[in-house]
This record gives sequence, structure tokens and C-alpha cells, in this order.
Amino acid sequence: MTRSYQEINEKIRKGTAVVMTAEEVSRMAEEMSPREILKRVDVVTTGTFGAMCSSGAFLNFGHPSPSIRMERIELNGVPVSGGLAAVDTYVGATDCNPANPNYGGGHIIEDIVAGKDLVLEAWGKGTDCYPRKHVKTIVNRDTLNEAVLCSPRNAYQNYNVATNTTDRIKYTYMGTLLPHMKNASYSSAGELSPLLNDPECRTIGMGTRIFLGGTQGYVAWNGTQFNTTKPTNEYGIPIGNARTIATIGNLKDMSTEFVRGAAFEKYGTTLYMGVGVPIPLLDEDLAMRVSIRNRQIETNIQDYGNGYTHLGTTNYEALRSGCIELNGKKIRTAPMSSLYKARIIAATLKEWIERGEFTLTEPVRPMPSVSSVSPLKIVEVEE
Amino acid sequence: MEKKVVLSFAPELTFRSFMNDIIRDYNININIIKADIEIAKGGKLLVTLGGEEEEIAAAEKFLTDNGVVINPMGSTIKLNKERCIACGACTSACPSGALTIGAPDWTLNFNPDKCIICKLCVKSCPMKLFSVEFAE
Repeated sequence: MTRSYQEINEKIRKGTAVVMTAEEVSRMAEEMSPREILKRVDVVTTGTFGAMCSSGAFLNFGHPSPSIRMERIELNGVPVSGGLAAVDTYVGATDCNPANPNYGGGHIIEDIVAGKDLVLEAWGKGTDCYPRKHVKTIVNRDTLNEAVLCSPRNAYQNYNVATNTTDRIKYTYMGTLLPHMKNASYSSAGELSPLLNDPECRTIGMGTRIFLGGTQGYVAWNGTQFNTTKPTNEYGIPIGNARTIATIGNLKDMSTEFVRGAAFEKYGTTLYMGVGVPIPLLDEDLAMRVSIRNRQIETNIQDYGNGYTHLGTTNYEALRSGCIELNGKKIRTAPMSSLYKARIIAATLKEWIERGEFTLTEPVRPMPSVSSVSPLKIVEVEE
Repeated sequence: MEKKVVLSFAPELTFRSFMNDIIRDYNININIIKADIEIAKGGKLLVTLGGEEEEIAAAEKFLTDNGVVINPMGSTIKLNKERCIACGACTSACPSGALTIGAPDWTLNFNPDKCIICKLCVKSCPMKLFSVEFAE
């Protein structure tokens, strides 16, 4: 048995599509074969809510009179990109002013979503076509012409577990890591995670409509560092961080429930983003993929105190139990991404589809079937 | 001089005899006003430390170097729960088990009775929702 996007969308429009979250379908899979699941379920929804540092937003401020070509731009005192024409900017989640390390690009993006006023100050050299040299004013969600979230790398497929073997506390983007492996942190939504439910991205590609920050957004491209070469386990799950998606959506329609600025001690600012992807059950293979359970999803344990040294592997059932064992030593585990919010995202997307407000899209371009990540080579540079 | 402080002990520190150490090695006159501590579970002592200023400073350094957390009387950790995203980052850092997250609902639980006011949560919360409050 197979099923097409058209058939699924027809059912969604009629209100007869059967939609389940990835957790619900994983429970079903304890007793049902992929063939039975395929018969019963049309769409499976996923969700994740975590720190996604490679996120950002394009803004257009509008032209003042006389006009200015903004070359140096600050929003609430945070320097943002002046590298685009005239009155456009890009706010990256990690943009920051070192004098105020707990407020940065991620917070600016959240404040725009919240409708708060932001102080815009910009400078230009003054040109014949753009004579103004300086502007200082207030902007907010409603005064911006466009505010488009456009992130080059979101929703990592799987992620490393971080621990610290040294005798000093390490403050990392994986949280506070206590000395002597007193704790370990993990950051994937496991069986609820979008790219773990379609591990080869058979249904996720450019143009896939998704849940993004509380509204409908799209997959814009394969994410940066898209990696198909990670070893996979017997369930087809890549071990460690592998594929990613680039996302795009209207920031003005998003909600601070799912878009939150954040700051990690001694690391910097970032953005917690909510992303949910619907997986259409087109055939038995996909039904098998969405049936994946936490104990079948494995990942690497790395020493973040010591150059990401590989220490071992574990799985998400063990991680969620609150304690893993590594070489005979018990290590307390805790998450860095919110499972509570990930469940809300998967449930919300399910509701949208059940109500007929959200139909599925066939990718207009598939993800690369082979793509690897090269390190940065350091070569001699002649002065 | 005399100084009134709260000493907080993580579970693994309860197997050591710190009070004995600071009396013997740092010449501290100690008066335990209130003890709420159990072996292997951790807890707090409200004490007055008596002695020369330098002796008290040296004893406090000895205690903190060994993981005992010293706070002025009445300080507490406050959490702005309304803005909490339930990520779990604070639970990862929390050494006393006061902050926990887990099945079935994966929301954050804060048990102030277990808190040793080490302030690691203040640093670890990505949303900066913890603060230290002082009240006599």
C-alpha cells in the first residue's frame, strides 16, 4: 500500500485525515507493525524547542527623509549587520554587544515578536543618493516593512551529549558542565525530533511547509553543515549530529511562546526556536521510520572540557532516565532543549492539520543525497 | 568577631567532618544554631563563626574550596516561573537536587528546602530567570 500527498491533502480538506504525534505513533508501534500503522495513520507530527544559534532575521526599516544608506547599525545597542542595501539588516541570534553579554540578537528577535519598541541607531557616510549620515528612532514589529526569520541551520538531526572530564566547571552552549563528569547534558527531542522521524529526508526538502515559531513557515534549503556521512545504526539513525534544515517564515506572525532569546554563561546569546515538521506516511518505509523509539536513537558522548573527545555512546531512553553509565561510572543527565514545549509544538501542528488549516507540501527540490562537512584548512597567507 | 552564616552541604559533603576541621585547624569558635542536615542527603547549618577576622576568612576559604556553600542568613533563590521554558539547563547544573525535571510532564520542579544557594542556576538559566534574594 502507498499513499500520495494529494490523497493525504484531500483527506485533510475533508477533515478525515488521521494525524498522530511522533510519540503517539511510537507507543502504537509497541504493538503494531509498520504496515498496520500505515493503514491507520496519514500524517505524523514532530516538534523540537531548543537553542538554535544559527538563526536570524532580515528586517527592513523603511527610508527616512532625507534617506540614509545604513552602514553601521545598532538595535537596542547591539551591533547588527550593515552589509545590505540602504535600510535592510540581518539580525543574527548571536549578535551581541560585549558590554551587555546577556542581551543580544536572539533577544532582539524575541522583542520584535513581542511587539516591543526597539531603539534603532544607524550611521552612513552620506552619499549623493543617500545624503543622511545619522538616524536615531524607535522601531517595532508594526513599523518594520518586513521581518522575516531566515535561519541557515535549524533542527539538527540528533546531537552530541556533553560532559566534562576536567577538574574545572565548563560553561558551554550545552550548559554548565560540572567537573569530573558530575553531569551530562543532551539537546535532542529524541523520538519527537523532526529529522529523526524521516532520517533520510525523503519527505523534507525545499518548500516543505512546517511549524516555525508558532506560525506556518517553510524549509528554505538544506541547512548548513548538512551531513549525510555520519555512521547509522541498525535502525537507520545517524549517530551524532547529521542533517539540518534552513528555515524561513514571517517573524511578525510568530509567538514568543516559541521564539525566545537566550544567553549562555561565558558563551553568548542565542535563540530558542520551536520547529515542527509533518511527516506524510506515504509508504511502509516511512511508517517504520516514524515508529522509532528513544532507546533506538543513539548518540555520542563527548568531552566538552577536552576538545570534544569521544567518550562513548548512549541512547535517549537512558538519557531521559536521568542517569547514564559510562565505563562503570554513573553520570546524572539533564536536557538542554524543552521536551515540554516540543510536545506542545507537535500537538499544535496536529491540531492545525486536523482542522484543515495546514496541508502538506511535496518538496520542490530534495535534500542532497550525499553531502559532507569539511574542516577549515589553515594555510600560510602571504602578507 | 562573630559572623552568622548559613553553610550548605551537597550530599557527598556530609561524609566529612568540616566543623571539626575549622575548630582544630582555624581556631574557630563555632555555635550551631540550627541544623537541618542528613548524612548522604545534604542540608544546611545555621552557625555563628567566632574568631579573629583573618581566621574566619581562612576558614571560609577552606570551606568554599571544599565545596561548602556559604551564604548570609535568609538568602533564597527566586524563580520567575512564568517565563520558564522547561529546558532543563538549571537541573543539569544543580548539585543538590533542588531543581529537577522529568517524566511524565517534563516541567521544572523547584524544591527550595533542598536548595543550597550555590547560585549555579543563576548562571545556567539561558532565560536568566533565577535571582538571589536576601531577607532577614
